[in-house]
Amino acid sequence: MKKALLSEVVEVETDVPEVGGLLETFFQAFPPGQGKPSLAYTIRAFDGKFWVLEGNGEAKAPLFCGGSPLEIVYLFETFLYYHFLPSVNERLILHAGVVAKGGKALLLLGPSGSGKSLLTTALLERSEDFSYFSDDVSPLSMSPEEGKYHVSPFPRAIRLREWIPLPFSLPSNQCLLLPSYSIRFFLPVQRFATSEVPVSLMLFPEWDSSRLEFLQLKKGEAALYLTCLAFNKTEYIMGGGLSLIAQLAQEVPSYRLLWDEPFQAAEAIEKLFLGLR
Amino acid sequence: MMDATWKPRHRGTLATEEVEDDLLLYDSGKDHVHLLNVSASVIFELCDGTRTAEEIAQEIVKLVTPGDHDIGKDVGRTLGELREKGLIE
Repeated sequence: MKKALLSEVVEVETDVPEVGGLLETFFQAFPPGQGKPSLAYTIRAFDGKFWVLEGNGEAKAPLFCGGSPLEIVYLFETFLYYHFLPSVNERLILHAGVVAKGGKALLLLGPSGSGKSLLTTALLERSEDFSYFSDDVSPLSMSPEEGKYHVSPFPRAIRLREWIPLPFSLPSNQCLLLPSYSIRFFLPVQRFATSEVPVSLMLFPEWDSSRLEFLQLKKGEAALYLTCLAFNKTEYIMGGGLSLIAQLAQEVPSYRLLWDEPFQAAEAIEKLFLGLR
Repeated sequence: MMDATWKPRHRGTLATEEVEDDLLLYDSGKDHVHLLNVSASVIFELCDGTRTAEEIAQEIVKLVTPGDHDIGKDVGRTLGELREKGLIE
């Protein structure tokens, strides 16, 4: 497998057919990589386990192992993003789920456990007009022509906690289950976005057992949250990124979203989103 | 007790950006983000290494309408908090 992930060309070799198939599934919506890989890995089966090794030459340093093909692909995908995203400097990479409709993007931002993935999935299930951009990793860049922030598709699998009951059923041929981690992966293959769109709304969800409410954020608070939720920290922020984050916070409406039930929340989010000028 | 001769100044590891009335600060040394309200922002901006706490308080007095609060005490408390967060030295 050789794919282009932002500015990186990632190549993974494996002699395990099932691992190769899962890599193709997980990275199916990313464009093929061209030229010499900037990041190269090998996945091999050895001694009853599956190992990720650094490099694709003769000398390969073992990095970590997993007990099944799905586990090693899940661990590899997680390792890969957390390995290279902090050093990305050409774009702002936010911890956000993203969907879009009518040429406008909606960002659901927050740390793990805030409900990004569940709400992203609920929005996709609720309305067929939403396209899927990302779960967790969202690359943003400033369009010099329009002076607006645009988000690009980064279509990784949506990760849903298995123990959280879903108020809808997902197509089984688009889901994978990793019981040892209690994670369900959902790949909304018919809904993958293909081109970037401007950011129109930013929501910071928090689960609350008793209410559904949007609380408008002060611009400074939004900028604070955005800085905390950036994957690419020091070099990007010190190199002018803080100014762009401040601009994003000032230009795009932002709300804290207290939510208790995903479908009701998705309905309210869609109403707010469509009501934007 | 604050040293009366101390002239606070910004730490060199900070990037700052105004967002409406607030000041957003990123401390690259600690990878921490801070948001200062307008009052703390004005005090922070005056921490350029040329003024003592008392002199900063005198500058603030020129900017605010007279009230019953103790400006010197407020400035001292804010400077203590900014130093505790590692934003000034």
